[in-house]
This record gives sequence, C-alpha cells and structure tokens, in this order.
Amino acid sequence: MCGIIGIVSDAHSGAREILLNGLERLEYRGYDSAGVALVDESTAIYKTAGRVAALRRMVGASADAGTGIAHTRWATHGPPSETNSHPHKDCKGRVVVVHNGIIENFSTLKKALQDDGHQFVSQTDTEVFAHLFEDELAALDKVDLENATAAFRRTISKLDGQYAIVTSVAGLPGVLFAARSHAPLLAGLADGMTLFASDATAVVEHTKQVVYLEDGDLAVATPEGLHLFDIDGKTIERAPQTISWDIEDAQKGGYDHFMLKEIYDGPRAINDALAGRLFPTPPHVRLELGMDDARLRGIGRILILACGTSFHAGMVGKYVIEKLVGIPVEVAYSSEYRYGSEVREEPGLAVAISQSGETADTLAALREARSRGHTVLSVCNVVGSTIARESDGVLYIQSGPEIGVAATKSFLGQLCALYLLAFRLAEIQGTLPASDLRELERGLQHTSRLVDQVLQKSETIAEQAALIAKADSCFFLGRQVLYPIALEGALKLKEISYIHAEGYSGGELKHGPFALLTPDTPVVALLAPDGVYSKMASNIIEVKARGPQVFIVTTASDTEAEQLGDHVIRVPDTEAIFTPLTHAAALHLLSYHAAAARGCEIDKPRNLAKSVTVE
Amino acid sequence: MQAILLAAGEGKRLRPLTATRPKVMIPVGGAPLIEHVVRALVANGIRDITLVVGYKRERIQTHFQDGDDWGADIRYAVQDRQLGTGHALAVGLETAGPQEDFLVLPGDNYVTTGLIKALVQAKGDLALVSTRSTTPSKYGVLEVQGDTVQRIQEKPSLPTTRLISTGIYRLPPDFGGHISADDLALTDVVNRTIQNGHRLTHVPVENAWQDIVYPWDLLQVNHRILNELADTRLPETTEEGVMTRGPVHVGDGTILRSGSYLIGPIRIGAHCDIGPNVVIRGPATIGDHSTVGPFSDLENVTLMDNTLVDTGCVLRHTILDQGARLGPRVSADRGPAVFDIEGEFQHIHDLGAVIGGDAFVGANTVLEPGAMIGVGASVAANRTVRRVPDGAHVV
Repeated sequence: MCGIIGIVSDAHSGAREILLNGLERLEYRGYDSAGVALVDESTAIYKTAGRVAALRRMVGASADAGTGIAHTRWATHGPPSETNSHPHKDCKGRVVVVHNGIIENFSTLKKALQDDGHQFVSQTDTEVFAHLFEDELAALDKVDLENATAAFRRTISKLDGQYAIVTSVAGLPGVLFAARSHAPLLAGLADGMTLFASDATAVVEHTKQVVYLEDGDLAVATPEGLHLFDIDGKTIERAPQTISWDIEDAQKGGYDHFMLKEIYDGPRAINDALAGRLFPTPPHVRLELGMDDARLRGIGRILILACGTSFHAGMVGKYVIEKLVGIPVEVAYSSEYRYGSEVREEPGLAVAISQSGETADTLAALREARSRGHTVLSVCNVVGSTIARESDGVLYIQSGPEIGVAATKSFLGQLCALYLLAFRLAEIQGTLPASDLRELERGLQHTSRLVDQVLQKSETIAEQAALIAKADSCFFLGRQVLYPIALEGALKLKEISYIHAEGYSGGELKHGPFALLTPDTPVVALLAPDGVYSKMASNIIEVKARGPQVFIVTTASDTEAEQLGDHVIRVPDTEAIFTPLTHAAALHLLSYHAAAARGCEIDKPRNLAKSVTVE
Repeated sequence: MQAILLAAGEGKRLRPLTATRPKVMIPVGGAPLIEHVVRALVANGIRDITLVVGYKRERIQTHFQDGDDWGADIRYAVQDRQLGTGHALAVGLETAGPQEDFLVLPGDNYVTTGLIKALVQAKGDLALVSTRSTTPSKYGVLEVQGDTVQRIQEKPSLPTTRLISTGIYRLPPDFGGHISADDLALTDVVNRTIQNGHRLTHVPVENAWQDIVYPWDLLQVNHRILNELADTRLPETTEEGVMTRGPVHVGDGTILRSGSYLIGPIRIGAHCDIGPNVVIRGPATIGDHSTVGPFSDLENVTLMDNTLVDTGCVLRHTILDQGARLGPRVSADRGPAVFDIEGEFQHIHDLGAVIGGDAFVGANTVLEPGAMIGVGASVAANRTVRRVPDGAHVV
C-alpha cells in the first residue's frame, strides 16, 4: 500500500509544506520510504528510505515551489531504497511521476524502451511511465497544455494494470496530470490550488471539496481547477462532494483509538506472520533467513537483542528455543549489551528484534554484535528499515503499519516469528520428532482463532480493568513462558494508563516486593496448565494473604482459578508454549480498558514515541 | 450519492454462525455478505458509505477499517440497541448527513450491481426495490398501481400479491425529518410519507436479490456468487496432476496437491493446503489458511477461514465456520432434515451439517443430515451426532 499526493497552485511557494504534511497524514498507509518532487522552472527531487520526518530534514527549509508531487510507501516485496523510492523521472528529468499500484505490462514496455536507448535507474514498474511519457512529449511540435494532454492520454493507453498516477512536466508549470485505474485517487479543489491524493486525509486541511476519480478517469489539474476526461479525450463531468466528517476518526475505522483497532487486528497479524511459512511436508518451516541450511545446523548459541516490548518477545523466544532446540539463548537489552565488551563471546547467531527496524539502541547493539563476529538475523515489521538492511537475514513479521505507540499486534507478530525460528531450528537440527513438530505447527496455526476468542471477552475484561484503573500501583506475576508476559502486561499498563506497575516471576515476589502489597495494590496472576501451575497457585495464596485483589488470567479448563483469585479472565485452552499469545492479548485489552477508564491519551502517551531513534 | 447500510443486527436464526459475528459478516463466496453489497455500491460509483453497526461491531470495523481497500470512504454509526430499521436509519443519518438523495440497504442481503443501478436511476421522490416472493407473508407486501406504491403491508397473514419490498430504498436527503422518536420500523415511516403525498416508486427485480434467513440459505447464495466466476486461476504452488473442470479460482500461496480433482465453480482462498487426492465438487468456497487433507470428498460446501478437514472426510452441503476442525474420516452426508428455529418448523430437503466456529469433531464421527454443532463444541471419535449446543463436549 502506498500513498500519493500532488499539488498545483498559482503561488511560487507553499507546496513543500502541503506535500510533507499530506505525506505525514498518509503515513497510516505505510511509511518505509518517502519522496517529494518540487516543480518550478526546474525540478528538485528528494527521496529517502525512511519516514517522512527524515524526508523533511533532507528537504530543509529553503527549497520550495508552487507545484509538486510526493509519495510514501509500504513495501510488501523487496527492500525500499532511495533508488526505488518515488518520484521517478525520465532520462532528461523533464517528467516526474508518483504512482500507487502495479503496471502489469511493465517488463515488455521496459525492454522496448531500453532498446530505444532509454536509461533506467530503478527496478520499479513506475519508471516505465516516465520514459513512455518522455517519448510522447518528444514527438510533439510544441509542448503546450493541449498537446501534452493528448500525449498523456496516449501514454496512459499503453499501460495495463492498477494505478493511481500523478505526474508533472517541466516547461508546463502549474499543470499536473493524473489517471486512475483500480487504485484510490481523488482531487481536492481549493482557492488558487488543486490537489490530488490517495485519501481525503491528505487534502482536508486545505479543502473540503473533493472529486473522487473513477476507474478509467484521466485528469488535468491547474490552479484554477480540474478537467476530467476519458482515454479518448471525451470530457467527464463529476460533481465535487463535500467532506463533512473527521478524517482521523475515519482512519481509526470506527474504533476510539488506533491501539484498540490494532488489538483487534491481532488474529490477522498472526495469520499474516505465518502465511506461506508452514508446510505439511519437509521442510515444514520455510523462512527466507538469508542463511543456508549448513549454517542453521551449526548454530550452537543465540543472543537476542531488543528493547521494551520486543525484549519481552525475545524472552519468550529464549524459553521456546531452549525448550525445542536445546541450545542456550541469552537475551540482552540492546542498550546494555555493548558495555560488556570485555567478555569473550563465541560467535553465534544474534537476533535483533525491533518493530520499526529503526530503534537506535538495537541498531547499535546489532553493529556491536556483528563486530564481535555474530551472524545477525533481525525480526522487523518495516521492510527495508535500517536494522533490516544491516542484518545478514531478516524475518519480517508482516503485521502491517502500526500507529498506536503501545505495540500490540506487532508483539503477537514477533512471538510468531520467534516460534517459527524455533521450529525451523528444531527441524534442521533434528531436536524434535517430525510428528511433534507437526503438532506444534498445527497448534501455532490455530492460535489466531484462540486470540480471536480472547478478544470476544473484551467486555468482561473492561469490567475488571475498571477496578484496576482505580489503583496507584499494580503487580503482574507469571512463571516460565508467562513471566515475560507478566513484564509485558506491566509495561503496557504503565505506558498507557500511567499506573505504576511491576512484573515479577511468581517466585520473586517474596524476595522484597512483598513489602509493597496492600489491599489497594491489585495483583494480576497469569496461569497456564503447565508444570508450574501448583507453584503459581501457592504464590497466589501467599499474595492473597496480604490483602490485594487478585485477578487471574487462565485457560478455560482450569477449575481452581475461582478459588484462588477474586476475578478470573479465561482464555481458550492451548499448549502451554502458546499461552504467551492468548495471555498477552488479554493483557493488552486489560491495559487498554484501564487507560480508557482513566481517560488517558491512549495513542500518544506522554513522553513516548512510537519508534525510539535516539540512544 | 451516498449509502447507509444497516448492519447492526445479530441474526439469531443463523446461529451458530452468528455467535461470534454479526449476520452481515458471515462469509459467502469468499467474502462477508456485506462486502458484496459494498462492492456493488462502489461499482456504481457510490463510495461514501455509512455502516450502522451494533452487535459485535468490531468484526465489521476490523474488516473494513476506513474502506480504502474497497475504494470506499466508510464511516460507522453505532446503534447501541437494535430497536428496528427506522431507528437504525435515524442513527445512520446522524453520521451520514446526506445533502442529496441516498440509498439505504440491509447489509445482509445478496444484491447485484445491476439492482443498485436500477434503483439509482428510478423515478419518484422515493424508490424501493421490489421482487416476487414465494413466501410473501414473511415480508412487507406491496400494493401498487403501475410503478407507484400505495401502501406497504408488513407481514400480512393473507397477502394480496406476491410482490414484496426488499427493504432497499432510495430516499431524499430530508427523509430524516419524517422519522419520529417512537418510529421503530422503516416501513411505518415510509407509509406515512406516502400518505403525506410523496410518490414512492418501485423497481422490480428478478434474481438480483436474496434474503438470508437460515444457515442453508448461505449455500444458495454461495452458488449465486460463484456463478459469477468466469475464469480459472491457479497459483504457482499448484502441483502437477491437478485436474480442474469449470471455473476454479485459487488464492496465492495455496498448495494444490497432485491427484486432486476440482469441479467448479470453486473459490479457494490464500495459504490453504489442499490434497493430495482431494475431490471437490462445486459450488464450493474455502476461506484462507484452511487445510483439506488427502482423500477427502467435498460437494457444495462452504469452509471458512482457518478450518481443518483431516484425511478422508466426506462433506456434502455442509458449512464449516472459521476455526472448525474435523478429524480423520468424519462424514456429513446430505439428506432431509427438520428444524425448530425460534418456534417455527423448517423442513429442508437436502442438507449436510453446519459446524460452528472452533468446534472439533473427532475421527470417524458421523454428522447426520441437518446436524448443528455449536461454537467451540467438541465431539469425541466414533460418535453419531445431530445437535450439539455451543461449548458442549460429547464424550
């Protein structure tokens, strides 16, 4: 998914801010690379394989124009790079274009153009358009609006596929051409300027009058307005519509917050993380790790580097890999790893986990790990991000853009990626019988359904969250694979509801924190039908004796939970190894509802940023 | 022009399929019912769409989000209590705020693109889509003169004609002014506007509309939707020795294994694993991330997302809701069945089983014709079952 925007105005400045602000508003469609072209007497193009904020720094405050086009991208295939970022141009730099979609016949067109001597700089399908338009323009006696419009029509008629295209031609200032076929595009009509965009979000600051282009529509925009026509040049009339609603609300798709929307995306995130990676015949787990089988077979130890929520995923990964593969796994905070440089490490596999792929601490740790001879595999969401690019291999979690600062669906995606990695290593190192592995795979594939069932308990969880919302301090307890989930539950609660929260291993509470327990400090205990159930149960009884209200998250077939705690949240039964997914989903909802009950600003908690790009 | 879709209802008569989702979100022919309606609207250039949501609204919101993937701008209006269509429309109008004529449609009906087009172009201040029904007493029956409707009689015991209202309207922007606080049914409001001198025309359609009331209606609508499939599209992951007849449309990443025999119309989603040696006789729809094991034989089935059909199952005229799992050699053959749904007896000639979401059926179990397995239920191996309530365990 990509977002495009274009503006043509009767001024000589102002386009830069309109385009960059518009791109920022389109970032929910994707944000792994961005570019802008400012069109005046000459055309200046700026692109970056990064977010719009990076592009803004690159463009600076001096460059400006009255006309321009811009693009933000969410790569699903292939890494984004500056070269492949839009806008693209022709050989002479006369035509610039942004495009969302796929030009299906691009390879045929490209070959013909190359035979004619056109030089391509990118691997994209989009660049073909620029060169085709270049040829059509070159054939004109005179480049005026009428001739160029006809040339644009002839160019578009050569394309097959899905596209929303916006393009400008040097020498024709104050004109943009656009076309739509099976990709979103609309035009915004304002005083002295006309805009194009993938979504009304990007233009609504400037105008509420929009014309939705239909498939097959071509358009010429000038500062005075818009002319729509079909491929044969016949004029089309489309009445402008008035946008009367709040665009940001629309992006949230009916939810009050992005965080809640993304919690509900959880089952889909699991399906997407597993899609195309598990097979019932060998090799059962197929991951493009960028490492050959011999290398995977030889991995004798693993170092996981991460921060925050990703660190908790890493801790689950440690448990799962150690259990299934039997090799030692160390999990280190990215920010601390570097300082142990005197210790002699045997080179092995380092796994760097970062949703954004831009976390500065993790990036620094990754570089350090490489310098110490480790092979680095990263687990990222954003394709082509810095961490992904600097790793030997990448396991993408494929969760799609995540907007809420509190990571939710991407945490589930990270867990799935780590399960897959553990399965792959167990398979290739032969540490598990094939039949057990097959059972585990089926179990993992079924977890999206389990999380879906957890989400259906939202109302019950909200009732219990309302009780926790009244507290000033809260504890989370778990053991084994649920210990990291206790940490994650505490982290989520503190970051969005501002309630002081601590996660502890069930056994650790009595070594100090017990002193803090009062009837006013709720304790959330995580239970699963595993070997430590009875130990957790006695921990809970010890806690209960100090007076706190106890909230228990446990599985459906647990018959003792009601005797242990005051409130019980039940998640579906599953193998103990997969309970991090079900319990995390329940705790994400618990934190969300607690924060909502306290009236907190959930999507933008104070002092926090989505992607931490400083150390 | 904009549209308001009524999508707040639960659909109790479609249980167990509506235990986990609102009626409009039941997948048919590869997409939820309401998505087919949204597509038909967008195909007519109607992109500004307000969904009136209520029961399990997060299902609808998570599916459509802001509508971008369908080329639509979708907004949501929340009807907290399902009081009736008139009330739902009033709620929808608050969000939609139409400046010109708008359409109102139930989100749970099958409609064609042509139906929408005909309605948009109809004459009159108000217009509705009519059709002929064999059971008019279940609907609003129309009294008409030419193309003008004189009255809508809601569910008459002795209907005078077979012409019924589909509940699909084109209404003027100020229509909200006619709805009073105690109006629960849209029909009452429409009848009153006719009495006040407005002209309501009707647009008759044939085979362009179907209501979905009971689970078995889904198999029929599935057939209608699959009949629109024209071509065969197989993914790169298709093994040698797969035979297809008629249109078979298979999503990316799905593995079709050798020896499988697929007779269209069939639609199979993405990332499924089918075969080897599976026979599927269309109409059949299989959702994403589903598995059909070796030697299974399927005919006229709808398997939703994340389902598992293990080795050697026989399923005919059967629906598997998402996450349902069948062990090896489970059989659900078709036959006559009688149901008591909400106090009404329904005789069905030809039905297999309806298996609720996340249910599990053990090896060799026989599901009798008309078997209904509840959501999350489990049935042990070697049983013969007919009715299993939600969450029950047959041991």
